[in-house]
Amino acid sequence: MSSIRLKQEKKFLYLTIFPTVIIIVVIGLIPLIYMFVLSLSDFNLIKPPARFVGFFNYLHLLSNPRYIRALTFTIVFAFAATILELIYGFFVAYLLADKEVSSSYSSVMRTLILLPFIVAPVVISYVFKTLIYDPTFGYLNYFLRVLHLPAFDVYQGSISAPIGIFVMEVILRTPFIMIILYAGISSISPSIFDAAQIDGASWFKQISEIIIPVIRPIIAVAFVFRFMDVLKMFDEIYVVTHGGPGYVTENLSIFAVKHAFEYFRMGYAAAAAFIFLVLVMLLISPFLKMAKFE
Amino acid sequence: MKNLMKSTVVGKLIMCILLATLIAATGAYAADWGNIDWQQFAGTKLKAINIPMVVSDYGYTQERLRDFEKLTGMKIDIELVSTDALRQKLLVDFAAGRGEYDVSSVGFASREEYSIAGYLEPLQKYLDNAKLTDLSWYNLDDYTKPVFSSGISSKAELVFIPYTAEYFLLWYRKDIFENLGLGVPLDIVELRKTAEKLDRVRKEGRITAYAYIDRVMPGPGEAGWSIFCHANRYNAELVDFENMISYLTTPLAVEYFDYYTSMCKKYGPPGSANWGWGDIGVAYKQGMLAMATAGNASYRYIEDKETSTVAGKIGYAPPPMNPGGKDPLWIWGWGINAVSKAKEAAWLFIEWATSPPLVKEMGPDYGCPARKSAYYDPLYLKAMPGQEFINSQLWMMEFGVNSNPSVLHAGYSEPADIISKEMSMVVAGIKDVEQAAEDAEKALVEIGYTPFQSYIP
Repeated sequence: MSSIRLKQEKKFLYLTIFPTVIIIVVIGLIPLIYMFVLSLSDFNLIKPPARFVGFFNYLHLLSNPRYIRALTFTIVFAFAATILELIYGFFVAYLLADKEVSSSYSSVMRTLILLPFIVAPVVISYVFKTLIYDPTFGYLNYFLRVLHLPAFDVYQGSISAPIGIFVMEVILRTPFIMIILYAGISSISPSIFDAAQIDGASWFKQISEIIIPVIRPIIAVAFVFRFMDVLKMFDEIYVVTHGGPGYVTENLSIFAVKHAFEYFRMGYAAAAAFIFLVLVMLLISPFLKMAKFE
Repeated sequence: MKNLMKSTVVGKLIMCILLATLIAATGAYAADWGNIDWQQFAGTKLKAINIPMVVSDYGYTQERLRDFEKLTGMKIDIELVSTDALRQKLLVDFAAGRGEYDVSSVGFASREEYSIAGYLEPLQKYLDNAKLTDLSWYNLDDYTKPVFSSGISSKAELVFIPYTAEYFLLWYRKDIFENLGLGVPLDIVELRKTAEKLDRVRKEGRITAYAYIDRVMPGPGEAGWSIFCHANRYNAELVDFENMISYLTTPLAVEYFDYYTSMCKKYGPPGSANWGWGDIGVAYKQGMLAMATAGNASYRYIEDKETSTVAGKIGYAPPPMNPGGKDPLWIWGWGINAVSKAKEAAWLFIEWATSPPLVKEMGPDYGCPARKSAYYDPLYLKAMPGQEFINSQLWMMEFGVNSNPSVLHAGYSEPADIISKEMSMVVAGIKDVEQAAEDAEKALVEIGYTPFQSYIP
């Protein structure tokens, strides 16, 4: 009797999951397979029809200096931005979770810090481009002029643009990490900190011996989410620098979009996107293991 | 009773006069639209696509489109999207063969992209069909040869009918030029000298406007287009798209790149190293610029008294050119999707949208009609910023443009993007011109181009 019921329950479970599986297959798996098939052709909207070219697109991409440059920029930028956001977000979360900080002050601060994260990235990017970085109208250069410091032109030199994008990214995205880590730190029982203080543990000891080990899976999750997001970053770069000056801030998303929707080389862009997908999976798998998801 | 009779007679008389006027007016209206049956596809629904610009905002207004619907009994829906989106949506629609858009606004630079692949319907057969076109009324002689032939593809097929004729003009600040006693520069050397003088005067604090700027934002539709158009005026060849030859490292090309980038770098406002057309337009309206080379179609935007601080102070002249140099023409025209299910009805829309009476009527609203006669209409003359503006346009229409420039090629976008990126690095101070030209050429070789020096015919 019970085994029949178990079977029925199992059937019901499969039945309820089925619509979700269908949706995932339709909007995830089928486009992915189509993208792979496309990547094996020279499909160009301007020069139809498409021909099968095997792995030519992949081989060409891996010897294309522009693609390698974009790949390097994407990975280096993603690591640097995520690590800084993690460190910065952790300390803000730690300060806000401190029992000395009143809950009303903490909630006001959390709301304010979250503001840039809530607004659409395109809007914030335009704000940075026109109201902050612009050499003529921007606040940044206004204050630099007041302080008799040299102007900051995000479009001059090879380092200004990456710095400009990096600073914007950290300001915009740290709140996400902060809010996750704040939840983690707040969940640690205050009695543990009290005991540590009685034993004479410094704040550094409390962080390294209590907080980090306890919230390690949460840190890993925050890191993985942010890292994936920075790897895929598009809006901010597209609005502020368009990948420039030259190729200085061109990442893989910009590269793929340009090849797909400006040069209409769909096959080539699909191959670039497929390599990117594999790369993201390879890069995040160690962190997922660290979070003991596997 | 007598009074009542009198008022009835007067009332009838007034009714008769009104009716006669109405009939006369209707007759005149009908006569204006040639000798074809405009109602032959009544009930058909057409979908068209265009971009927001002066002519779509002030020319093809909803009111005029409703007139078209009354005339033909058809329905027309025009979707307005950005320039990039227009190209993307059309190419996806064309490639998918769905025929979502019956009529599309075709930019001159996209003509080959669309027509080589057979996405656009050849239009000659519709012109030759007396049931669809009254040629004597449609009057093709009203187009100058360069303007009309812009719609003929390299496969010798007429694929679009022009409705705008656009050229680069030199926009200069008349007030500043008059105060400083400067003449309008006629060639490249004079342009550079004028920019130098304006820059010196600005540094002395006598004016606040920066001397000159052109588009630097990378991309085929921004700096790419400006770089290639300027090269045509400079009379320097950069790329032979047809035979896939790169001239980028030839002495003339390097000299030209040095000219283009130094003009932007030395004389442009701070932050202009990433400016596209939109930024230049805003800066010009705010009085930040003394000169710019920009399209005639934007006059209405910068002459808007409510938003522009320089309205009425702008002079217009043909853009400075080297001997033998010409400006690539720019045209917007209407074409038919080759897989549209309502091609003949779509042709009627195109015929209406490019017809002599409508173009004449719309001319004063958008400034750059493709038909010659519109430029002599008293209403047009009154609406334009000045005779200098009209003369410059007419001169360009007849003598200043190349209607078949080499940039008009399906393979234009990628090299243009590459070159504009490299030149933006020069303006940003990351590379020197020689290095940027070499790197651009290397990138072109990557996609199959041959450097001129090693080209064997």
